[in-house]
Parts: sequence; C-alpha cells; structure tokens
Amino acid sequence: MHLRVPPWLTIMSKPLMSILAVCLILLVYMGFLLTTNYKNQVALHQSCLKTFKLDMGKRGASIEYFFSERKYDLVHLASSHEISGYFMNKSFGMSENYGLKLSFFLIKKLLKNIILSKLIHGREIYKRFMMVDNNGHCLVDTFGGHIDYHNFFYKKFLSDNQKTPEIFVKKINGKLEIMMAVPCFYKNKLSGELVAILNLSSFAINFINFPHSFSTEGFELITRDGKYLYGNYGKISDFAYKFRFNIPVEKRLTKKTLPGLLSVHEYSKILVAVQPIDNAPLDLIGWIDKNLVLGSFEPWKLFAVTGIIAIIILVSLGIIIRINIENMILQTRFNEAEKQHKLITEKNRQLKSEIIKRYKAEKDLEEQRTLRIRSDRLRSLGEMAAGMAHELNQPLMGVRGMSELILLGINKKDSISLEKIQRHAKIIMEQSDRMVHIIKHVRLFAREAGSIEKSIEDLNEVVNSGMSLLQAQFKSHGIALEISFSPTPVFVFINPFSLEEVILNLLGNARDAVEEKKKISVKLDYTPVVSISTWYSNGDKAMAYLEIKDNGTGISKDISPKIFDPFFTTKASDKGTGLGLSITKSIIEEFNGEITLNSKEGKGSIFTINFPIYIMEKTYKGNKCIEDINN
Amino acid sequence: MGKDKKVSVYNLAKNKSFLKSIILITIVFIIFPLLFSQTTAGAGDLKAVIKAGKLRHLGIYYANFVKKNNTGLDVELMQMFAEYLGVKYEFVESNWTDILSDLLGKNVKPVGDDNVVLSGKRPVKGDVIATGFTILPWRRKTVDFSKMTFPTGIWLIADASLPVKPITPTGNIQEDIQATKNLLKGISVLVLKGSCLDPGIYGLNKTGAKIKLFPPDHNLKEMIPSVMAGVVDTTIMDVPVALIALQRWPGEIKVIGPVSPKQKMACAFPKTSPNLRRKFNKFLDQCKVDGRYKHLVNKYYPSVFIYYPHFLKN
Repeated sequence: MHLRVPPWLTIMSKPLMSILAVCLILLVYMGFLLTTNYKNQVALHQSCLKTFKLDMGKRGASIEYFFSERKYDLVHLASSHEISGYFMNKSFGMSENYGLKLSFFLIKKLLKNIILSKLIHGREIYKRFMMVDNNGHCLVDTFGGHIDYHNFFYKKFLSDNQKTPEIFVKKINGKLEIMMAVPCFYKNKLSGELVAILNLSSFAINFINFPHSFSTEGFELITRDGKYLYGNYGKISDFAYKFRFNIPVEKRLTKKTLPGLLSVHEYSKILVAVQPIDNAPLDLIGWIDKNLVLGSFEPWKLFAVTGIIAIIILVSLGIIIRINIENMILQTRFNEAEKQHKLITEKNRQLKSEIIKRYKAEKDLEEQRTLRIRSDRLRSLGEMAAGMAHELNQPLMGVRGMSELILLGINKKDSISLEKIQRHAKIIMEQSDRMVHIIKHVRLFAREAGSIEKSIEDLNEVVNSGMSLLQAQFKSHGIALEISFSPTPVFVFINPFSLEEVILNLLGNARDAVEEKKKISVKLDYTPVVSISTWYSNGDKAMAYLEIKDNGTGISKDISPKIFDPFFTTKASDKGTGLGLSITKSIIEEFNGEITLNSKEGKGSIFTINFPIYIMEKTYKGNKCIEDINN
Repeated sequence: MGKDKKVSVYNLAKNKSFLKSIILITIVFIIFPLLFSQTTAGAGDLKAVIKAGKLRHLGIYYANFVKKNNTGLDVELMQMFAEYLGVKYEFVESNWTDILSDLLGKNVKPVGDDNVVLSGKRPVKGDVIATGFTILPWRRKTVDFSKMTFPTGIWLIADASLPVKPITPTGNIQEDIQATKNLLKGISVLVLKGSCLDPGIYGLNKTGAKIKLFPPDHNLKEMIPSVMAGVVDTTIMDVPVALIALQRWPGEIKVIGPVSPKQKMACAFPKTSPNLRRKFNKFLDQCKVDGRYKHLVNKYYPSVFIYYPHFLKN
C-alpha cells in the first residue's frame, strides 16, 4: 500500500521535521498536562478538603483527648488521700476548729499544685478549683480572693445520680466558662463535688489558635446550643468573618449520625465544617475559603488558555513550516542557481578558454591569413613583378635599342644627326617614363593594395591600370586579352589599388585556368582567351559592372560554392594559398560591391563584379562625386 | 627618805602573818573567781557570747522544730541569729528533763503545777533554748522568754477507732476544753511530765482520765504512734505536732478537742542574759518584717496558718 506523502513533507529538511515532531509532541504533552492538571486540581481540591477535614478531625480528637485527660485529673483528684482524708476526718466527727481545717489546707494545696503543674504549652490548664459539699457550700476554693459563701456560683452542678465527671459551660461573672465537675464519694456515698474551671485562653491557644494548615482557615468553639466561646478567624475574608454570624444555628449544628462524623456545609464563599466534641457539650466549627478547597481553577479558563497556546503553537508551527518550505525552495533554487552558476562559470571558463584558444587560433589564423594574404599579396606582387618584368622588358629593350643606336652612331663617326639623337633620346625618355610609371605603379600597389581608403575612381581606368601589369605577360604566354570598357567613365567609390589586386587575382586565375586547359586540351585549335569588360546599368539600382571571363577549365558545381571560402584552393600548395578569391570577395564587399561566379566545368568561368555607381557633377573646381546615385 | 621606804617594806615582808593575809586575800579575790568563772561564763550574756565567738543552741529533737541533720525551724532560726551576732553556731542536744538545767547550770525541778526548784550546780551547756518551747508559768520563774516565736495549744488526740467522738465546738475555748475533759473519764491519756504536755498544767489529773507517763528519755514523736498502736487511748499533743500527725496519718487519728487555750512558744534565755534576749527580740522582729521568719514557718509548719493565720502579725 503506497502511502501518499504530502509534497510539502518531501521537501522538508530533517531539522524542520524535528521541529514538527517536537511541536506535535509538545501539543500532545500539553494535552496531557491539561488533563493531568485538571485531575491534579481536582485531587488538590479533594486533598485540601481532606486536609481541612483531617485538621478539623484532628483538632476535635485533640480536644476530646484533652477533656478525657481532664476528667481523669478530676477523678484522680477526687480519690486523692487529701480529699479522702477530709471525708474520713469529717466522718470521725472532727470539726473545722479542731483538725478539719487541715484537710482544707491540704486539699487547697493539692489543687493549687495541680493548677501550677498541669500546663499546656507552658500555660495553666486550670484556672480554679473548688470543692463543694452536698449542700453546695464551698469547702475549698483555690481562688485567692474572699470566699463568698452566699455567692450563687457555689452550688451543686451534678445530679445525685451522677457518678462520672461532667463537662459543662456556665456563665460566671457574665462570661461563659468551661467547667468540669466530678462527684466525690466516701464509702460509696456522694459526699461532695470537685469542680474545676478550665483556662479557656490556654485551651484556645492550643486548640483553636494552633497553626493552621491554610492561612484562610478559621476555627471557633461554640457550645452545643450554639453559644460562642472562642474563635480565631485566620486570614479569611471579611465576608467570611461577617458571614459567620449569619449562619443559622440549626445549620451550624449537626446531628451526629456516626461518631466523629464531620459535616461540611457550603455557603457562598466559605466552607463550614462542624466537628462535634464527643465528651463535651461543645462543637468545633471550622471555616475555610471555599475557593481554596473547591477550587477556582475554572477549567474552561484552563482549556481556553491551553487552547490558545495550542493554536499559537500550531499557527507558529505552520508559519515556521511555510517559511521553512519557502526557504527550502529558495535554498534549492539557490543551490540550483549556484550549480548553474558554477556550471556557467565553468562553461564561461571553458568558453573563455575556447575563446582565448579561438582568439589565439583566429589570431594565428589571422596571422596565417595575414601571412597568407601577405603571401598571396606577395604572390600577387610576384605576379605583378612577373608582369612588371614583362612590362619593363619592352621599354628597357627600347631604351637599350635607342642607346645602342646612339652609341653606334657616335662610334661610327657617322654623323648621326642631332635630330636623330633627339628622337632616340626622346624615345629613351618616353620608355624611361614608362618604366618609372610602371615602377611607381607597382610601388603604389605594394603599399596601397589591401587599404580600405576609398576614393571615387573611374572603373575603366582602374581596370586598365591593373590590366596593364599583366598585359605583356599574357601576350608572352600566348593568351589573348580582350578588353571592353564602357564608353563613358564609370565612377565607383573604391580603393583603386585594392581593386587592382582583385583584377590581378582574377586575371591570374583566368590565366591559370586557360593554361591548364591548354595543357590538357587535345584540341590543337584551342585558343586561350581572357576578356575583361566594364559597363553600367541604369535600372532600379544603378550599378557598375566589371566582368572577367575565361575559357579555361571552368569550376565544377560542387566546388563553386566554396570557391570564395578562405584557404580553399584547387591548386597545388606552392601554386596557391586559397585566400585569393576570399580576399577578392572581402575587398569587393568592403566597397559595397558583389562578386558572382558563373562557371561551367570545361568551358570556362565568368567572374562578375558590381559596384554602386557614383555620379559626378561638374563644379567650378572640377568634377566632384556627390553621392551614390542609388542613395 | 628612799632608804627609809625600802627598809619599811622589807620589814613588812619579814612579817609572816602579814604574808599569810596577803596570800589569803589573793586566793579569795583571784582564785575563787577563777574557780567559779565557769558558771558565770557559761550563761553569758551578749558580750560573753560574742567574746566566746559562738552561740550555743540548746535543742531537743522535736517535730519540725529541731530535726536531725541540722534542720528545723528553731535550728535555722538560731543559725540566722548566730550569723546576726557574728558568731559561730553550735547545737547542743538536750532533753525535756535537763534542758533548763543545761541552760541555767542548776538542777531545775518543777514542783506542782507552776512551781520550780533550782538546786545544785551543773555545767551550762547552752546560751539559749529554742526547741518548740512552750511558755509555761513555772518556766517563766526560771528563764526569760523572747517574743513569741510560734503559736500553739494542746489538743487531745485519739485513735480514729476510739469510740469517743470529737467535741462539737462551741466557739468558746474554755467550754470546748471542758467538753474535752468531760470525755476523758476512764480514758487513758499519754502525757509527759515536766513539759508542755504535763497533765498537771491542764488539770487532767482531776478528769478521771488514766494518766500514762511517757518516758522522758523517749522521743516525743513516739507519743502519737503509741496511740495508734493502742498502747494508750489518747495523748495530748502540741497543735503544730498534731497537725503534722494528722497529715502523716490521715484517718488513723482524730482530734477530740482542746485541753488548753492558745499557748505560745518562744526562745528561753537565762535571766542573766537580758541583752542577749533583747538582741534576739530585735532580730526576730526584723525577721518577721523582712519575711524570713514567715519563710521558715512556711517551710516547716505551713499548716500553722490555718489555725493561727495572724500569729506573725502579733
């Protein structure tokens, strides 16, 4: 079963996954905390309530134990030999005047010692003891003041049937006091009572004021019928303090269904518990701030807060994830770009390297080309030199001839006429001028050929000038050179010497072609002919034309397209560099011209060059080319 | 002239009879006083005590007045008095029969109810008697008493089982005494001659009671146990001692009633020691004022205040 993984997950990095996992765990943990917190709160509340109840129970039990001890004290006192001695002496008939007073003294001493010795946390438990006879007369009173036997306070507190100590609350001098009384028996006959008044403040300090489990606890001791005895309210609110007086008595009391049962009543802001004291007509009331026990945890708040936190976490997580994804994407793109950059850089480097190589190669090529061009030019120059040699040969022959004639004349002592000498000298001068012209032309050619400086030239003159360099050679090789110029000047904007180079090159190729054909031709009547012609047209575009035609070997169709390619040649390496026609084409194109080839293998080739015509206008200074008539 | 005097004295010395007279006079006026100086020095007054550097306290081990191990109300009182005088304290044990003789240096014998005969000579052993000593008429004839140190009286103590009921107080001591005496007919009563428990003082001889004399060489504290033991039916006893006995043996003994009116105890001084007595009275007053004496009484006889709550004020 193939699990579909969300695309965004696939591109998430490990750290992000970790964050996601942590956040999810955090959410789960928060949920867990929430639940446990709620449970803990509930448990805490229960614990607080339990602690409160325990506290109450403990206090109640302590109070009960306290009263049990007091009862024991009284029983023990009632059966002391001091009190027994009194009853014995009384039974003997002794009178107070003669001996019985001693018993009172001893009893009082005993009771005072009890007051001094029975302490609770350093405080006296008992405030006062009295011994009362059956008629309610006070026999002994530890109170240091005057004993008033008519004081109604002195009376019997116990019924005749009472055999055990009893605790009760009585008002003495307007104040409620906790009292205890135990019957005194002599020979199983009720003989009197021993009464004790407890020190309420000592009792209260120990059992009511004793450190509370909670600062908001408060305790109060009341009588069974609801009268206030003593209270300590802790740090509960004013409301609780005031409220205590408003609780109806019936609600403050509790019917004990089981011994020691603690009843808890709930009111507005406080929790009230009533703990009855088993062996005394007293109730212990405890108060506690309700919120503390029943809690103010308001679970919905907790949920709300936790929910908000969870939402915040989730939203943050989402934002983090999104940012991370975008970062991841950007990072990926950046890495890709980096890669591409590196690739490009590498390629650039390679390219640069290749460019450099290519540049070097081109430079080399250029050098080679230059060399080849130079070589070609040199070859052209050579051609030209060869042509020039032919051309110079004739005038030199003429100069020699004339000079010989003059010398012969002089040597033979014939009288060579001055006129003949002048005529011969003139011919020598003309031939010399011709040679100078030829040499000058060659010199100019050598310097200017390949230059791009242009000027308006008559095409006819330029062709003628260039052709003239090879005219004699052609003649010596037996090649017929046919010339056909335009009857009118054809002005073009060119560099004449560069065009002469073109003409030399084309004428040279034509010569080679016809000579080649002559070599291989079996026809005896083959006559190599090279023709050169110029004309112009006035059509849509006025153009000047130069055509060089030969009836040589011609160029095959498969070679024709390459004929103008640099370094392409059909000749042997020592015969040609392959740059002639490419240079020719570049020169022509430099002059905004065009060269075309029309060739038929075995028949011959026609090279046609055309240039834009420039019109000439006559000005007061002479002819001046204004512009290309096409423009 | 000088020569003449020498000759006359020399001549007298040669006279033998003159010499004998001188010797006799010397003996009479010097030696005899020395011989008898013990009597006058033993019962010395204040100066003699101070000169002797000690106060000799005559006492009888009796209840809480004089107890063994050098404690007791009178013992501590005398110790304080000695310190007050700036002398050492010395306890001298005596008995009821000889104590006055030990003080006076003479044989003292009571005769009848209130007479006494002094005879003979004997060593004076003490300077003061303080031992719960009741002021009795016949004793007054022989010694001078200090201010009252302790209140007392004489009660008739009986065994609890004796079928004689205690009297019902009338509010009149004399009537109560009579009522008590009326019950004595045929009842044995333990007494001690020559002391505050002498029956003659209280007219018990005329009540028809069987008088039993307690041996004077016995300790008085054995009197009440004798009653409890059934040796005698009753005994008379000082109130302070009776009170202690009632505390000690509750339910064993009972008080029938009084046989004497209120009595006083005091310290006894020889009539030749008025200064010492006066000094003691001054000392006693001081002790009463500053509370030392009350402290002593509370220590040894706290119950005395039940019946004599104001005795210190008197």
